[in-house]
Amino acid sequence: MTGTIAKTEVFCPECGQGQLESENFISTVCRGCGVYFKSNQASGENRRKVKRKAIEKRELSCADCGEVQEVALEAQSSTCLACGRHLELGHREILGEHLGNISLEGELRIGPKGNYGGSRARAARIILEGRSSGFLEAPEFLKVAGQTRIRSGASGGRLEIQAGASLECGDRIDFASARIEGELRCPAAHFNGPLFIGPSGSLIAGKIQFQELTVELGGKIQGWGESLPPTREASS
Amino acid sequence: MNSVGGAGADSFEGLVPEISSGAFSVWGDVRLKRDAVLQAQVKGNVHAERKLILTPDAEVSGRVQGVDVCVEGKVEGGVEAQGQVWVKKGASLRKQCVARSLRIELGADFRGELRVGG
Repeated sequence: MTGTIAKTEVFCPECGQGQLESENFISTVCRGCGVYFKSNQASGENRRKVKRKAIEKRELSCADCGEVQEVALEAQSSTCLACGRHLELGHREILGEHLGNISLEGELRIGPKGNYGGSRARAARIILEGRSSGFLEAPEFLKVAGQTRIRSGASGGRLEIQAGASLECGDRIDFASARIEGELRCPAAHFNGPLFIGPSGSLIAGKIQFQELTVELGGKIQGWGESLPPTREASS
Repeated sequence: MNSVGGAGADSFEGLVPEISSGAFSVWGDVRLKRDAVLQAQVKGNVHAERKLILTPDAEVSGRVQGVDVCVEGKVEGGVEAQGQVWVKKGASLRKQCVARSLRIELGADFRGELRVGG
């Protein structure tokens, strides 16, 4: 994201020594005589106050109250102006043991040897390759790409289980939609949208709820199933 | 037991009604030897040796067996197919669905045991 910083030549008001400074510099020390001077005291081109570049912003909605606010594109954290919640905006990777709750607006990756030991982790996008003791919440998607296990449940937008990957859940899972190319085992699975099981996919659950279901030739599904009535948006 | 021949088409789209009438009811099991479209009430089981379509007017109180089965009507006793099962929007299927591949459309009503593949 960061580009080359534009430089400009400024001259010391004391000795007249020229030196390169950032276009947006506020103050500096002369490399000739060591005197401290501000940008408006410098002689030369830089006497005029340079306008700072406009900061690129993006919209962010609070995980708790849903309030939308603007934050700088490169910001790593913010505070919700409505409810005061601390919002961690960056990404995180768990490669070993991690305890404690996590709440991110970015991406959480639990590596193949990673073990999330907290009670609840929330991130916009979660990539699971290891294990989790706590509940996982991924409003955008939960992608499973390894031999994985969640001791409790999971919820979110889209569930993707890649071919060759497997997920074993100790509790109910609840997603808007799912694409299963690997294996999923859980006591109950609720999909408030389409459920797709590919040619190498397998879903074994005590109870399976869905709005629409496709099981391709070679795919497998076992359990007590129930179709859900279409929501207003889905039917329109 | 009734025995009815079929149209012999290769896909569901090519089939024409074989047992058809809004007021037509069959008390007992029905065996269909070729591809067929069923448009009647059956108080019993239906066994199709090839493809079968149950139209929106069809109602089967028992179990439906076939190679490929497309349900547009109502089946109370479950469907068991050697190939694919297609449950269309507005259809109702209860008790069980056994197949090699399955499609349940948005707006279809299914409740029962699912056993597909494996």
